[in-house]
Amino acid sequence: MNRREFLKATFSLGVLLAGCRPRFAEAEELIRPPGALPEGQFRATCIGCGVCLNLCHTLKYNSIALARGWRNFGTPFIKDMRDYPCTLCMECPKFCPTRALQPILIEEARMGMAMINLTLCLGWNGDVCLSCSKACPLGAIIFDFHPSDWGNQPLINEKCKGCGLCLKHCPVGLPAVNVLTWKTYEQQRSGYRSQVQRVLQMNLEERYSWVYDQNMPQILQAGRILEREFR
Amino acid sequence: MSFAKFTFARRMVLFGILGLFLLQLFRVQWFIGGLTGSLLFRWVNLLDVFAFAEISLASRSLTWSAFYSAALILGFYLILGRVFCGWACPLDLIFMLINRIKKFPLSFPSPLREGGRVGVRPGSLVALGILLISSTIQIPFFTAYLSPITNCYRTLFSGFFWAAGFPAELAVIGASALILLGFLLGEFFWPHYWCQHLCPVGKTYGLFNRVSLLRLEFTSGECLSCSQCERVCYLGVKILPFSAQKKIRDSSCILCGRCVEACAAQGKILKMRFGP
Repeated sequence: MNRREFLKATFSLGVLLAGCRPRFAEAEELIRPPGALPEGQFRATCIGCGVCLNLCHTLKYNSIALARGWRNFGTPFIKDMRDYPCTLCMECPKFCPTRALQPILIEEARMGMAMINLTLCLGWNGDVCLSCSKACPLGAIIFDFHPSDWGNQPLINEKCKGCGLCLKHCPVGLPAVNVLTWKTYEQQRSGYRSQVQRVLQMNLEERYSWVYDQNMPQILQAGRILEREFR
Repeated sequence: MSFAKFTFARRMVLFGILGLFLLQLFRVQWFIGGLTGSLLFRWVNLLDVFAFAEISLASRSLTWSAFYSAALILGFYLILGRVFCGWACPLDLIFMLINRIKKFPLSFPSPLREGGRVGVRPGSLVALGILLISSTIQIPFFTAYLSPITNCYRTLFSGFFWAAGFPAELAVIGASALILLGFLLGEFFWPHYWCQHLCPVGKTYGLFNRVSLLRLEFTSGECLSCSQCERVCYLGVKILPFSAQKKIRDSSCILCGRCVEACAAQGKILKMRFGP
């Protein structure tokens, strides 16, 4: 194979791959470590060297894993927030060799968005729990409370960083709070907001039946309330 | 030479680096990351030069701090030449073991002919082709997916995390191990072919061989032209033609010192030299 043939072959391969790009681009969006560039930029810059992952391990957090999938292969993401949430220690973005993770302050982080499941949350079902707001590293900035006869009902606003510490400390078995990627959150936002409004405007009877007839069995089924508490 | 001092020193360096990188699994923060990108002593970032070229093309932007990290490596190999391949790359050890356990001389003819009409080595074209692919699909294609070095380290880390019960994707471990296995099979059937002709990382570092301060040299004494050095040379460098001009300035030379050890004149003629 001489140079001309090789360049031809490479060029055609390049054209072929350029044709494949849309499929590549539709990769699953993941919750990245803090400070990550926008998804496409991130994927172009991350070489999967493992600095963030191993730094996280040496700091005993272990929250970062390497992702699977065609486009995301070998890139870092937060895999298991229930057991290994990101603690926003901001060490990995400081030391990323390629700057796929930008060195930023905690306030600028935008990993994802936590959303409280009103059906499962104890705070929305007549109990005083607030474990999530106590676990949150930015507490009062992130949480909006709606005090009522049914307790101090927590809501997470869009300043949330998506670290997942609330997830870890949620005493409900299926965590009553979930971290979504911004893309997913923006799809669900309007529906979620109308649900919150509906619950806040319920009268006593409606609320009573919503809590005791509909939600309580689900919370009990979600289970593990005691065994997981403050693990 | 009865005692292969270069091989011994190379293995010490290789195991030293590998060991320091493995210490991070036991929460020692000295060497963090892998050979493509790392963080030393929580102080300085290092980045492979070819990886830097790839991410610059893939992201179509230049990041200064990544540039500094790559410039450190670049400066290091400007002084020392292509020592990475011979002294630090874990593949050198693994490939040597494969060639050693291979009892029968099984090898297929080379898929690409050396040179071609215009005398350009296929490796340079492969490197350029990979850069083209990376900038087209906007992913550092070689370093993130293919590179045997990345895959070697990725298999180690992810395997360890998975075994220890930390979050890890089994699919990633499997895929990395499979890619690595592919390289091992390649070495089995086409011995030395990857290192000699294809590896773009090695090609990049080979460019520095022309100016490096460290290099092999013919010193005083008459060369017997026994060609023992060429016979053992892992990268297939034609060493004897350099005897006239003393300094061996071949982009394939990985400064492993195998030729010095094999020299019939007991290393008195062929030597490793540092200096201008």
